[in-house]
Formats: sequence, structure tokens, C-alpha cells
Amino acid sequence: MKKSKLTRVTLNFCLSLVVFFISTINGRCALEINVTQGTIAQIPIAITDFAIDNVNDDNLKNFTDVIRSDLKNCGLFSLINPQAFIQTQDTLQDKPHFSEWRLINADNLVTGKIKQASDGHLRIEFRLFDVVQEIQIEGQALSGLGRDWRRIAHKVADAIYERLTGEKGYFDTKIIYVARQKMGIKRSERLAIMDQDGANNKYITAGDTLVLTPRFSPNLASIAFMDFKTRTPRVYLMNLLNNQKTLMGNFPGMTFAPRFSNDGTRLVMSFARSGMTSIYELNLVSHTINQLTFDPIIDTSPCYSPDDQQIAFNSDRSGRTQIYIMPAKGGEAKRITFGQGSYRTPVWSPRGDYIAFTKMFQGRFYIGVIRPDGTGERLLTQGYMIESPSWSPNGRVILYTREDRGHHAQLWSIDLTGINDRHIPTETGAMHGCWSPFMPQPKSASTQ
Amino acid sequence: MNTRKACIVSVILHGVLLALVFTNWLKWTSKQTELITPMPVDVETFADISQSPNPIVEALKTDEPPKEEIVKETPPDQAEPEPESTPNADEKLSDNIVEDIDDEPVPDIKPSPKPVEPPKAIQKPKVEKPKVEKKLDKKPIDKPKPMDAMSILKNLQQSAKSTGNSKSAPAAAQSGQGGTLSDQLTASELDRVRRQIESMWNVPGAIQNAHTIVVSIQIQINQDRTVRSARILNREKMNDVTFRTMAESALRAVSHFKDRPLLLSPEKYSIWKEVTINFDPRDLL
Repeated sequence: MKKSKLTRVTLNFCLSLVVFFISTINGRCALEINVTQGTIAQIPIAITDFAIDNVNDDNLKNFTDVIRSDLKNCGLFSLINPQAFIQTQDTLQDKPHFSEWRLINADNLVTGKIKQASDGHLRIEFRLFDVVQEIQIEGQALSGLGRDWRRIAHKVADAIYERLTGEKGYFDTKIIYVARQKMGIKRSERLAIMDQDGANNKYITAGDTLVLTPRFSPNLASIAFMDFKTRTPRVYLMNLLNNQKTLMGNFPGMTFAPRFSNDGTRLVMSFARSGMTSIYELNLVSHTINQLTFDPIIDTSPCYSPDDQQIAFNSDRSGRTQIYIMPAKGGEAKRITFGQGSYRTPVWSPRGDYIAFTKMFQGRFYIGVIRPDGTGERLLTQGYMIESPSWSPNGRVILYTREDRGHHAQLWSIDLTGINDRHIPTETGAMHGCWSPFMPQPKSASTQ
Repeated sequence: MNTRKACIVSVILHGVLLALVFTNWLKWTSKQTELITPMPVDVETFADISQSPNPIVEALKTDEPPKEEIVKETPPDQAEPEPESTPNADEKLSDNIVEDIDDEPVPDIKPSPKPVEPPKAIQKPKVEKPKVEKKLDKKPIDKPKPMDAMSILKNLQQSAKSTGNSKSAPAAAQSGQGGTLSDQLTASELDRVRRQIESMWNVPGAIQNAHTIVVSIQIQINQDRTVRSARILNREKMNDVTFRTMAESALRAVSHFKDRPLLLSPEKYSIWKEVTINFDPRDLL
């Protein structure tokens, strides 16, 4: 009896020991590896031709090309050459053969088709697959008018961009700019609006007066710009639906450099008189005017922060022109640039993380960014004459004007990282580009 | 007479020219700018059509940790008659199988005393290209087995015996049937795997504040050193688009090793069969 008890105690002890060993083993199995390095490379993506099903519109043959062009031009994607595709269109609509797409090093795959909906509208269906994980990560059907096929293509590209980068897409946006063209011995400047890729260009002024620095209102219903129609250049507001122009404030001198607040209720601009330039705010609702800076110096190029609580501007109050930030209602300004040369035209990023600027140093011009607290200054590009930075609505890309010696001014864009410095094609010379905010969203969304 | 005719023609042409200029002018001035009109577009969301089995997604659905580790240490006489046609085992495997699994007959797997040959990647530690037709590992090692205290005791006794026996130890180690408790991954081994994963991690540098995100992924590794499943540990943040993008890039990085082996020592399987990888781009961004 005693012996059996002893055996039981021994067995219990052994079992406890076993449990201890097991827990030890389990503990040891929880191996951890910290991965702190990786590659920041373009995302390899295969975009197959969208199948066109019973739609007679030759334009639609370019539908896939618009998507490809958007994704390629943004610099974040590397497109797989369609000639390398192994799987054919016929089988693709059922189910992708992921192994075949991995074989050509595609991480992602886009398939789609274009149909005529019963109401006569176009119906575009597309799917985005993660080839490595073998899952569909996005699938949408967009319906719209046939004449809007290009915008629908941009929206497809936006959806792909957003799903793969985590940032909102900016392909379905517009750019307003000053189109400069020589007409005989005269030179004309007209305001023009085009898609962000240069398509659908339209002129909105006749070119009879010099116009500069157009800015979109946040709701895209109007633009503010500087017009030299009278002897004294002034800031005007133009309604984009009826082209009606309104003078902004009855100032006894030159007004320039307008910029809307992000809620669209205010317009801030510069007013120059007797050798001094001050910043003024116009309330577009109450039609009141507030002076924000008072010193006998040159304060100009004001721009609101995304929350409309602050204004960045450039000033020569410390000698050279530098960038300052002050409260939106005026008050003490804090200098944020201290580098060599002069800093001008600050433009706050829509995401709020950076302020883009133009820098002049030793006869060269630079476009750069700096954090609002004055840290992290980076110069992204340089040239003989580059200026007028303007952010894409997702705060990822900067549009600017480049004019090389002996050449027309042109619009260029550059990624926030400093890569993908790219010319934006225009019919004429182009300058003072301003990127639109995001376009109005679709009315409804449903799940299938 | 000729002069008169010429004058008439000239007047007519001038008239036409003026008319053209005038009509164009009218057209120009009356042009409305239908510039930025809201586009009526309806957007619907599609369900997934990809019906192929997805090990990662499957793995996310089941949080059950595999219980195979003790079983693997079962001595040959205990482990042996695990028939390859065990229904449970097949079900488990089907989660991990790519398309060609249905077409290929499951090979007979007999417990063999001789060591399993290590894959070629050991000799050539370079990154392999993905194979189209992947020969899947269908070893019975990953099968969960019922476990009881007595069998564990026997396993440990056997394990203790094998440690004492210098001849049988390498064989057990080679076959991956569990290492000794003193097994450790060396720093260089860890570094080798880390570099392998880093080479496959395409960090989404476009997103804002990417440097503040750390994604922890737990991966289960087959004995052939390919990744069987992966799950995000801090999954509660997946509603955040920024985190989701970073997490998916990390998942993609480990998923590359579903059909290519990690450079791990086969004899230390018990240590690396489950690994937590923390993807931290702080230094990179």
C-alpha cells in the first residue's frame, strides 16, 4: 500500500516535470525576429486589357491605357509588359491562375470588363487581386455616362492606388493653369483647365488680359486669380458655371496672391501700397475685410493650414525673405526657415505634414519641403527658374512651373520623396498651375 | 473689266473672312465652361471570385495553434502506423494546397529511419524563383495527434535516450523529429532569415506616418521550411487603412515563402516551427 502511494507520488512528480518541460519548450518556440529593413520599390502590377462587351465606342479601346498611364506616371507602380502575360483573357474572367502571374513577378493583378448597362450607361467592372496571397482585395462596378469614360478610368486607377498604397488616389482631379502662347508678335495668357494627365484641356479666358496665379475654391465652383485688365492688377473671383467675374475688395492699390481657406468661407491675399505689402483676409460670407499684418515690410504669399487655424506666408522682416507662420486671425509670427538664400511661396500640404516652398540661392531656384515646425527641410528639385508649388489633393505630389533658359515655361510634377520628376504635357506654354481638391464623390455605393 | 472682277472677288472674300472671324468670335465668347461638373457614377463593391484556397486567410479564421510538437518526438514505434490517408490530415493539408494538389496523388509516406534530404537551398543559400508547379510537402509531421500524458513521458524518455546515443542523435536531428532542449538558433542563422524576409518586403513608403507602425505576424512553418500559415497578431488595428496597407505588405513578404524555403537549419525544427516576425520600418522611413 505504502509502495503504491510512493509510486503515485513519483508519477505525479514526473508528470509535473513533463508539464514544466513542455511549457519550457513552448516558451522556446516563440521565436521572434525583428525585421527593420526592406525595400522601397515600385509595386509590380499586371493590368490586363478590359474586355469590351457589346459597346460601340472606339474611345473605350483606350480605357485600360488611361489606367495604366495613371499608375505608371505616379511613379509608385511598375507595370508588367502585357506581352509577358501567360494567362489569356478567356480564362481570366473566371479565375486568375495566380501561379502564372507570380511567374512573371506580378504582385498584383487587375482584370475588368466594360458593358452597356440596361439604362444605356456604361458599366465598368474591375477586380484587383493580390497574386502572392491569392485573394481578391478589391472589386467594384462603376456606372456612368459614356462621355465620362475617361473620368471613370481615372476612378478605377484611384481605387487601385488607394487600395495598394493606403493613400487616396488623385487621378480624377483637375489642374488650372496659365496657358502662355505667342500669337504673332503678341503674347497671350489664358486661364485653362485640364485633367491632371493633360487631357480635356479647355481655355476659360480669352487671352485679352494678363492673368496670373489661379486658385481653385474648395468646392470647385469658382477660381480666384490676378487680372491685369485695369491699370492696377487686382484679384478677381470667377464663377466657373457662368464665367462671371467679381472684383475682390475695393482696394486702392494692387492685390495679388489669393488663396482660399479650406472651408471656402475666406480668401486671403496681399495688398501692396506705398512700398509695403500686407496680408488681408476677405470673408466671402459676410463680405468683411480684415488686415492681418501691419508692419511696413513686405508680407505676401499667404496660405492657410489644412485646419484653417494658421497662415504660412513669406516676409522680409528679418532682411532676407523667409517663411513665417502666424495665427489665422493675425498675431505673432514664428519664423520656420533659416537656411541660406531666400524662401518664398509657402504652400501647406493638404495632409498638414509639410509646407512646400520656392527657394532662391546663388542664382538657382529650388522647390523644397519643410515641416511646419521648421525641421526636416528637403530640396526636391532645382532649375534655372522653377516656382509656384501646388500640392496634389492627397499631399503626395507637388506640381510646379519650370522654365529653362530659352524655353517656354512648362508644368512639372515631383513626388514628395523627390523621385519621379515628370513633365505634364500641355498644348502651349504653361505656368502657375494649381491642383484641384478631390472631385465630388459618387452619389451612392452599394455592395453586391 | 478685269480690275472690276478682281475687286468684286476681293470684296466677297473679305466679306467671307469677316463673317468667319465674327462667327468664331461669337462662338468663343458664348462658350460656357462645363468644367467641373459632378459626375454621376454609381460604385458597387464585388465579392471575391478567387475561389482558390488561401492558406493565409484560412489561417486567420482559425486561431487554433497546431499541437504537433510533442507528437513529432514520438519514437518510431509510436509514430509509425500513422497512415497517410488519415482523413483529418488530408483536410488540414487541403488548406495549404495550391491548385495542383488535386491532380497529384498523395505519395506514400513511410516513416523512414534515414534522414530526410535537406533541400538544395541549404547548399545554395540564394533566393529561389517561384515554381509554377509546386510539389507540396505532404509529410505527416504537421498532423495534430491526440496526446496523452503517458505518451509524452515516453517521448521524453526516448528523447533522453537519443541524446545519450551519439549515433542516433544526428539521424533524429536530420529528420527534424525534434531537437534537444539545448538547441538554439545562432545569431547568424537568425540574421540569414531576417535578411531573406527583408529582401521580400516591399515597404509602402507612400503612406503617411508609416514609420510609426509595427506589424507583428506569427507564422507557422512546415518542416520543409516553407510558410504554412501567417496571421497578424495586432489585428485589431486593421480598420486603419495605413496599418492595413503596412500589414498587407508584411503578409505579402512572408507569403513569398509559401513556395520557397526559409534558410533555417532543418535539425532545429522544434525551435522555428512557429516564429513571430515584427515588421518595423522605423529606421527605413
